[in-house]
Amino acid sequence: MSEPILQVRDLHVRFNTPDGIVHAVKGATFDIAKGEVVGVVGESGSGKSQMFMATIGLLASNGEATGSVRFKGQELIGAKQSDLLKIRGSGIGVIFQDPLTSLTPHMKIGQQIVEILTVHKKIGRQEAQRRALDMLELVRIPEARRRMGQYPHELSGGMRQRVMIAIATACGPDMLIADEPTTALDVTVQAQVLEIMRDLTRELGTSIALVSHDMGVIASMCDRVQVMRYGEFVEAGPVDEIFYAPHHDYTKMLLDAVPRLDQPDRPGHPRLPAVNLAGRETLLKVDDVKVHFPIRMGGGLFAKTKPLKAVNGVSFQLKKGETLGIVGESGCGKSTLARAVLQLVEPREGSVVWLGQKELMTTRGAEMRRMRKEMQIVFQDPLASLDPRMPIGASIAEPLKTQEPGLPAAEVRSRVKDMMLKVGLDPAWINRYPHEFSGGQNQRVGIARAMIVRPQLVVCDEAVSALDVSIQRQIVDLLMKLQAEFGMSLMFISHDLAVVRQISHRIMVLYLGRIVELADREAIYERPLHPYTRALISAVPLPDPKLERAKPRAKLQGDLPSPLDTRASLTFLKSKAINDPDAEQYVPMLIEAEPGHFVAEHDPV
Amino acid sequence: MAIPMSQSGREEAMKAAETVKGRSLWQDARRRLFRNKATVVSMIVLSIIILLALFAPYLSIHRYDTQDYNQVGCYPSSMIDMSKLNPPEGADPDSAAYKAYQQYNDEYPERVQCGLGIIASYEQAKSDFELYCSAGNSATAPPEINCARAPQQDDFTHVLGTDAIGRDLWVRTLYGARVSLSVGVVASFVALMIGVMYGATAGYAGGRVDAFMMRFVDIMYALPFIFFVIILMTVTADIPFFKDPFNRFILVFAAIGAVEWLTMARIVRGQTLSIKRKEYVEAAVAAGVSNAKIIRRHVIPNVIGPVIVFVTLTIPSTMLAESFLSFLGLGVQEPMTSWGVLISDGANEMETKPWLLIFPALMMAVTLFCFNFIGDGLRDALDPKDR
Repeated sequence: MSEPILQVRDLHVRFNTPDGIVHAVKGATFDIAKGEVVGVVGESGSGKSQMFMATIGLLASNGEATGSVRFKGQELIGAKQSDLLKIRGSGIGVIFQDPLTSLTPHMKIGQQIVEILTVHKKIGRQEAQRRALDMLELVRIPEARRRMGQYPHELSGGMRQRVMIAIATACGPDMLIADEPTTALDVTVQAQVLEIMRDLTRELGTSIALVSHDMGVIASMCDRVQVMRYGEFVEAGPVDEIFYAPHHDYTKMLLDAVPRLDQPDRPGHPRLPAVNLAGRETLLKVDDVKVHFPIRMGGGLFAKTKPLKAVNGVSFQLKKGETLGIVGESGCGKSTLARAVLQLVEPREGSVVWLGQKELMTTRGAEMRRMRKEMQIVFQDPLASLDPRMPIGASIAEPLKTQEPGLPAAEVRSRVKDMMLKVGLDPAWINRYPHEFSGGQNQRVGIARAMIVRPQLVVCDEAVSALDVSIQRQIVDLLMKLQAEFGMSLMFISHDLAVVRQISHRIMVLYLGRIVELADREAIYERPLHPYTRALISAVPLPDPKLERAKPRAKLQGDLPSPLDTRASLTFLKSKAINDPDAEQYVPMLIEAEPGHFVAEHDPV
Repeated sequence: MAIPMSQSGREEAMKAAETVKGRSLWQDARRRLFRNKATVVSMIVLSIIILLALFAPYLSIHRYDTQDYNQVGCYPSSMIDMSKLNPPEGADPDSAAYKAYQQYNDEYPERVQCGLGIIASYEQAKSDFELYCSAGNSATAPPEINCARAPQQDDFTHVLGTDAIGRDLWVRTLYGARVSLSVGVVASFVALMIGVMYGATAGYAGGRVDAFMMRFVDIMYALPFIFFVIILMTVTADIPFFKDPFNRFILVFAAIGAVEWLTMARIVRGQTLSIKRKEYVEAAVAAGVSNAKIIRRHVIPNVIGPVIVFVTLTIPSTMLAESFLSFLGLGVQEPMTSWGVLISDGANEMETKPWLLIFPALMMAVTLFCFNFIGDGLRDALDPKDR
């Protein structure tokens, strides 16, 4: 191995907070060689981001770093601000997690790249412009010349992240720090961004420090891996060693917790009970549900509106005790669909029939409020979905008090405590507030609140997406356990195909508000018929380095098109598309390819 | 997260939790409130001020409206020692008592003069009255007699001095506290109630209802405050009910409250708009909670922080608004007074009689400090994160 480009020795990071000193990083020591990709994994709060923030001197003002960080032999800890400025950008590039907030909103993206180049490379404007264009092309931004003049808000999340990479690599840094670079992105976009980063190391020999909690991303990208917990490295080694022969219990636990798309029922996890759905009663019959939001085009008093077809004619049935997984990328309308089923969003049309008799779409007011006893929802963000000024006991009791107003207080209390036990919370905690709990515990509160009225349908809207893998696994296990106990039906919405496969009996893939494929869990992953489903599945990075290296990548080029453009709905049926963004387009039909396996019409691949 | 899931473990946990009762935010808030020292001290000071105001008539021999032209503009605590106005009877000029009298006369000639004047004028009035009574004629009106009794030591004592027409400032400050505190608290409370309910409803309803309700607020804003109050006062001037001074006084509250709630409504509406989109509100909707209950249980407790801070700012501004109305002759009428009136009178005579400004202003400042600390304490107490 050649001389390491970054040498970190005994790095400590401490934060001075009102609650005392927080020791975020405790003596980190590692090297990064030229052209090497080093992954740092760990759960939230393990100090992995702060370690790299300290490396480039970007700690918050109450933070303090001690130890030694040498970049190409130059000491960075305690270095002068002016020296650090020189290194940031030209020596070390940084890609942050959130592409939305890491670009300046009022500057055109071309200018933002030019700025970096003129500051660090001391080249003229013309030259900088030309280089910026090259960079944008390097990160495969289509129509790069036109994009130079656009503002960040005009670009999608994936595009913005590519611009971020272009900025970070504009001056040809020797090292790139990528802090959860793809966490906020959809899987297909993630696959493209990872591909670009891979090319960068190959073509420019850039070293990458990749911070991520996603074992799949780590497996597909890294040469070496450092596992971090509570500010300490618990294990380090080549990627294959970490994945195939982990030593430390924590690493084993992490790997075990990661849901695997290729292995849905692994030992040590509750298995999804095989249920015969054919003989069961239909709980919910959803027919041609549409949710079209009017979007104002242009300003003024008499602005035209264009319908945004968030959900555009979705039909499915849900049996009692069944779990239906709903997957799709952001903006595909999966949350809106769930809210339309629960009658939580306006305007909606179509039909939602409850137990074969009650039409929910026309049920209103107090009658609907009574119906809500049967259908509950668990939200994505555990903290945001709990009233910060309500003790959790009161939050859990709220649906019960609302739906059964006559219940004596003692009975409410005992049922709340009972439910808290069932979801794994100490009943003595009823007077605590949400901010005193971790995300996983708050999500248990959310589940307890949804389950306390014993509903027949529970919608989990990205219920585990905001949680760390180990917690995610616990919550998924809990949901499966509760389903076995109460026999409710679940609509499990997620963008994470692996989790969905673990928990669902049937899976529905949505694309721009329409179903593209609906089938049993085995069929859809083993014999996907629609090109979009295939692209989605192949884009998911597997936590298995050898499989990842061998995997051929079926790539979807470009981003999800704008749902306002009617041509977008026919991305996979171009032969029938009319080339006019406002035209009324052909609606692809769902075809039953094999019993229970529905797929939308599409052009042959 | 370490909850044993075995049967026995479950039972144990249930048993341990048996005694734990559910508490509401308000119960928690009360506990936190009483732990805040600044708030508790403020509450005590404020209660003392309120008690003083309530029992003002019994705390001094002076009346708030009695003018005494012999004691105009007295210094605070300037005390005329009655026993030293006249030489002690039959005393030897060398005795200690006589020397004390002499010394007092040398030191405070104006006090002695003043005290003798008061006694003399009482004697004069008394003899006039007796003469009138003994004459037994009814052709002339009876001469005025100021005091029914002979002057005594307390009549000469003014802890905070007197104003330009000889009224006791201490008593007037306490009477002013009655008016100012009630205006400040009641008007702010009215503003709070209307503003919070109106703003929360507008914000939560959204759409056209919101637009309509907020345009109404805008129209009310466009009316000049004083114009609005004058109209209110003139319109009600002929209604017999409002001729009663007390009812008229209530109208002042209403007028001030009716203006102050507008800003409150705007603040609450803005907050509500952001809270409405929070997931916990959606969770409540999904649980089947009615809109009124969502506003009461989820929206209002969560807007309380900025609202309480605003209320503590509203209290002084209503007090000042009241003094302005009084200055225009629309608020309290002489001889009744309020802190605002006392302060504005005091400010006019600041150079010659600074105590007329200092004491009412000090009382008001202390009161406002108390309200501010109580407001801060309430805000913190209602924020569970600040445990």
